[in-house]
Amino acid sequence: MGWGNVIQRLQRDTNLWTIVTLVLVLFIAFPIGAVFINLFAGPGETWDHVVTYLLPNYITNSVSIAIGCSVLTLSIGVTSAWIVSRYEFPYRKTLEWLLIVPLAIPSYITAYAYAGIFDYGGSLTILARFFDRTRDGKLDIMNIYGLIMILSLSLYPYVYVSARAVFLTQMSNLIEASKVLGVSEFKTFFKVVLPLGRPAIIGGLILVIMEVLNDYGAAKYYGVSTFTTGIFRSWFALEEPETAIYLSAILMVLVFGLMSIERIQRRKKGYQNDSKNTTTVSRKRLSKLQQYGLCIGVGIPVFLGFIIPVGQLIYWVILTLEDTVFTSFITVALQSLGIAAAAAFGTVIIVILLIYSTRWSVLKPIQRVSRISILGYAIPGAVIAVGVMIPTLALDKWLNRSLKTMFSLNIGLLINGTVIGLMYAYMVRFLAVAYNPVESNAIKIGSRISESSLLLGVNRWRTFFKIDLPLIQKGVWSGMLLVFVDIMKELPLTLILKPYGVTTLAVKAYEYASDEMIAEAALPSLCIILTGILPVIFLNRLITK
Amino acid sequence: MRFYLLGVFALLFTACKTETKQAEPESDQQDTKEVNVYTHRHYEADQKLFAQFETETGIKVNVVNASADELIQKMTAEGEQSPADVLITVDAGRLVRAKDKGLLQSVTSDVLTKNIPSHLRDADNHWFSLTKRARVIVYAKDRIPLDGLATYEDLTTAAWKDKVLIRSSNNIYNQSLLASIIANENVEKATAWAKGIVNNMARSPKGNDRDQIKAVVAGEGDVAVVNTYYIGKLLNSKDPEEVKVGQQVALLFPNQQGRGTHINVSGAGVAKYAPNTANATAFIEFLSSPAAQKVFAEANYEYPVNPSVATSELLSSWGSFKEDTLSLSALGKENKKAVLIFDTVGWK
Repeated sequence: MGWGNVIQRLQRDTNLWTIVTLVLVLFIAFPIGAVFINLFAGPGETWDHVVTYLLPNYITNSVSIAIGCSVLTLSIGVTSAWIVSRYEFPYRKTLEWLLIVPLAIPSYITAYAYAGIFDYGGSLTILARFFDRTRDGKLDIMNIYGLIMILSLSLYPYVYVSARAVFLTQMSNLIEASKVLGVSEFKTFFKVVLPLGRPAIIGGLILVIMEVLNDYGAAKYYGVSTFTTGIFRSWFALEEPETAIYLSAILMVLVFGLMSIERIQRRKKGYQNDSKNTTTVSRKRLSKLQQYGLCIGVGIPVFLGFIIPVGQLIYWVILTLEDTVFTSFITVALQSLGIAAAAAFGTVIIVILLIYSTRWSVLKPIQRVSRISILGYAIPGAVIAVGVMIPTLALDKWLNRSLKTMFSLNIGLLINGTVIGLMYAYMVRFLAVAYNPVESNAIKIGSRISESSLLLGVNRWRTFFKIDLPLIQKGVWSGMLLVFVDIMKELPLTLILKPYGVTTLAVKAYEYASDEMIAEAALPSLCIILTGILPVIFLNRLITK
Repeated sequence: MRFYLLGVFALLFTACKTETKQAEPESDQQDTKEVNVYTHRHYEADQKLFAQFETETGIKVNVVNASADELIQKMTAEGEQSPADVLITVDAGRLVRAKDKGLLQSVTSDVLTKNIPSHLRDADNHWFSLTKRARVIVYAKDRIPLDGLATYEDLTTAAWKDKVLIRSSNNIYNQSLLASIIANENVEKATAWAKGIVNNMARSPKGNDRDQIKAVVAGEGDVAVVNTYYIGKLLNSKDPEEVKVGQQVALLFPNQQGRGTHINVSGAGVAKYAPNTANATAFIEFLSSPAAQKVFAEANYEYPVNPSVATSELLSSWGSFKEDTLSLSALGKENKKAVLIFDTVGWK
């Protein structure tokens, strides 16, 4: 096939939606591209130094943490999802949503809380003294193993949520069939459930891995140097933004590679999702003793990932209450809520537009192009902030100059340092979080129903609003809520891009924590968690309904 | 195809346009009654001081809080359009870095020259220190004879093998300490020192300065290198366990016979493209005034830079000390070298 042919095909297959997709991808990928371009600009002069002394250790640590967390989050997430969707036991309904709530705690806060427990003079010391005065309770968890534990405890819900969604909605009749054919429970799980649930589970796992690669706060406090530590060290300590951005670009390529491998694997298998299957799973009832065993087993991640850290935070809040409660606290909380809600809404709109314009565009390669836009999630927030500042400042400066020459107006910066710049950055950063649930829901629904509607002469928009949107509602809500919770927790990007007078709860918590006033940081942290729990409960309702 | 490409650009353009239309012109309007402060400090006491400045002068203080690195990055990106008037950092190294990047401007102010000793000011008046703190050695009161321990260099001797607690080299205070050794001595001695400390570390570096002090009390090591104000913070903590930790340690000012104890400062400079230069200068002058100095320093258990202001009771109780009067600009100048040394000797 010659080039002429290719161009002809391109011309034939390009339609309005191809262009909409491209525009959206450009809009989101611009800051990412601004980072990526630096791969070709090359690193700074300390590159050799970084490669010799730092990278080997950073890469080993990052890979170990990613592998450790993958294993742990998969075991915790998939097992608990399987148990709550297959078995009946006391407090099942409560535990079902409690299993998601660790997601509401920023992982660096969990890390601080655990350090506060196992520290010298920490809660464990006090407890140990209570029972046995001769001993000081102290356990060193501030190392790579502790870090893997803590990250896994705060991130397993990503796997749990996606695994449970498949278990609940997609495979009840296959499980039934397997049971009827006399296959054991154990074998059914490994031969039927796991392979079929793979795309969704891997989707959740990729989010976990991206979060792990992006973590800075927890790793820094625990003294574990990761790839992201390297980015910050070369940026700030070595004063070489070029090297830092070069490292981010490499990280981005790695993540993109990881996602592509999964895509290729998935395509080979050719998953066919049965959209008609809506029968609910009939849950098995075991003996009373076994039931309590399940209840306790499933309760462990909740206990470790939520109750213990929150308990420690509450203790700190009680200690510091008189100093930290201030009248403007409500304003801060409201500002956080407003910004997070607005940005989550905007993100989901872009995601829906992106997914559907990709679908409506006939051009095949466009699908690969559209996935570029979800890369932002793997890039450290601080780097995204710089990526956002490069193009928007150029635009701002250009606007400023032209307005000055044309109307001699002086308007200052319109995007940078305003809420608009901040929202834009949130969208770039968190698009992936909303993309996954919406996309998997849209794939599940398929396009057969809407195609019938189109064939019957209903126009595209009407079909979309009357048929597609109601059908993908769950995915849309899940996406929006996950982004909301993520924005509530977001820190580095907010610090750099937030306008004057705007403070979020995460920023407030950071201000205390960076002064080593961890106990004082507990109140704003607790507020982040509280605002995160409500959407989580709502999310759970949606999935189980 | 060309048609489509045109379409893409047209759409892009309108997309940008609608986006900017939504924006409302914000506080950047050139108002002479404002001062925009980019600060790394974020204490309640600072807020109160700023409010006091507002009532005294009628100049409104707008604050952006972030780490100094991020603020410098932000100012660099904003360039001439930057709304920043004043940059406040909590270490000298970052002020020097901001100056080197051309982000600050020279300020002529008799008030500042009078209030701030010369070694705590930039030679070209690009920045001024506002508070200072010492990096000292902390030890458990009841445990050990300090036999012979008097300098940072002593920590590298065999007597302190596996007994030294110090945080990661990502921390600017460690970078500045090593930079001061480079500037006072030379690269070879600094490398040997860093290597010696790594050999003597009680554990791989982790946690913050408070955690190092706790580890001394817990017996993980015998001595820790920390900033003075963290002891103040422990003693005034809401957590009774932390107060106990603070009470169990004593501090030692190193190198009293020689060059003096390493100090670092927090300080401020006027931004190169400051829209409100006069207000910015007035703001820094206000912070160096005796009344403000007391509040500004005590907010963080630090030493005031204005010699006419007495140190707080707690700080006086530790006694006076000889400070290293090395020009603070040297810390910024040698910072990168220091980081490179840390990496080569494997100080995490």
